[in-house]
Amino acid sequence: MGAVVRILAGDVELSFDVDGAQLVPTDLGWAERPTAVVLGESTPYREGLGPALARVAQVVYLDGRPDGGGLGIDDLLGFLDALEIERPVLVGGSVTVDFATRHPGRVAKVVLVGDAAEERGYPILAFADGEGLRAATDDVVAFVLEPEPEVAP
Amino acid sequence: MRIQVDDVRLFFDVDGAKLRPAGEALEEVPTVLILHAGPGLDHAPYKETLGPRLVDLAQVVYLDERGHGRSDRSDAASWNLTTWATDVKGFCDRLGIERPIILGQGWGAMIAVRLAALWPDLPAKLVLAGPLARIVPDRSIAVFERLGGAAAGEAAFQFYRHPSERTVADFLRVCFPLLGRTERGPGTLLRAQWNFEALIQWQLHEGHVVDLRREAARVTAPTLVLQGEDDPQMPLVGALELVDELPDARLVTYPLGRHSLFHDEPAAADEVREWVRS
Repeated sequence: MGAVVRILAGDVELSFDVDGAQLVPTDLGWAERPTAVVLGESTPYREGLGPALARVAQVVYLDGRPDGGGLGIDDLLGFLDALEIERPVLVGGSVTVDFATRHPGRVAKVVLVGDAAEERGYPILAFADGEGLRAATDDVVAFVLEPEPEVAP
Repeated sequence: MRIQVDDVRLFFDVDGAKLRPAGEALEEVPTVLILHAGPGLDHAPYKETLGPRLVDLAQVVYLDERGHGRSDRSDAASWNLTTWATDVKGFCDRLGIERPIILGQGWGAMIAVRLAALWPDLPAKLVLAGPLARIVPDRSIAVFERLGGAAAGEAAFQFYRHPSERTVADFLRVCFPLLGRTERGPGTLLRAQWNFEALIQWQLHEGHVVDLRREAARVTAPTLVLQGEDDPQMPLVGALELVDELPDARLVTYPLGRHSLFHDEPAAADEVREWVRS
């Protein structure tokens, strides 16, 4: 996929695309919508799941590394820092939970393609594979919109 | 989202993906980068009427200029057209936005002209809504008086000649409602994060001396100029001065149109749509 908008996150240039505004007007002010960062090859999500999420959230499609490798935890942190994305919903493979384990304050929720056996300190919705994720659009939208659990003091 | 550009972090928002499904493949759509009116205002009004009219055709990028909205305030010494234009260039470089269609309104259109004169290859096309080559207060004062009577003329005179918090307040009370010809809800004023200091500084300094006529000749991008014939803030005669110097301009005027073109004249957004498509 060609570069769309790209950014230097650490020493690597990452391509990303955005669908749906972060701030949408209300009668007298603004609603700030959640940010969902969809990791990796975005083509399968550009129809169906992505547009459905963009109706309730700002969707950020973040490609893998330009050398073809998967995103590392530090790549993702550099990207989120560079754009001041504070606590996104992460959608993707095992890097999502690795990142959430390392930086628990920087993730609101995780939509995981993979095995989520152990107990975790954040809301997680897991699917066995990408096909399962794409078939569950309504569930993912509802999950993104769910209020976050109260954090214990 | 915000991004570091030179010494400031600039707020921007995006609606509509750049890559969209087209059959089996993905296809790029144009990017429309909106430079808001001002100084003092932010990107808020463009989310009401214009942006939503474009998002099926283009990726719409809303930017708050330095000193405005949710971008860093920076300091008054850097509030000038060249810095604002350079920020836009840096913003596009930083995000890899290539050959955008740059749409500026009023003061934002003046930034767009400065930018396109300094970096002619950056914009694929321009849209200037209610632009001016230079600010001639007597021209604006005359239109405010014609539309709103002697009180409006006096408030405009004080605003242009003695800019201060007091005269800006009177201007907002008496003259601001004249910028559109149809009523707007209170949300328009409430949603914007204002910086009146930037407006006052502009009126005191650069607003008095800026003249874009010479540099307009260096703009190579095809330029659509949309102008309300009854615009009191940016009177028609000032837009015509600019159009005369632009090498490749198409001018569309709206007989009853004022400064809030995209709110009052749905045809103006239609015109932008055609320009994006062409």
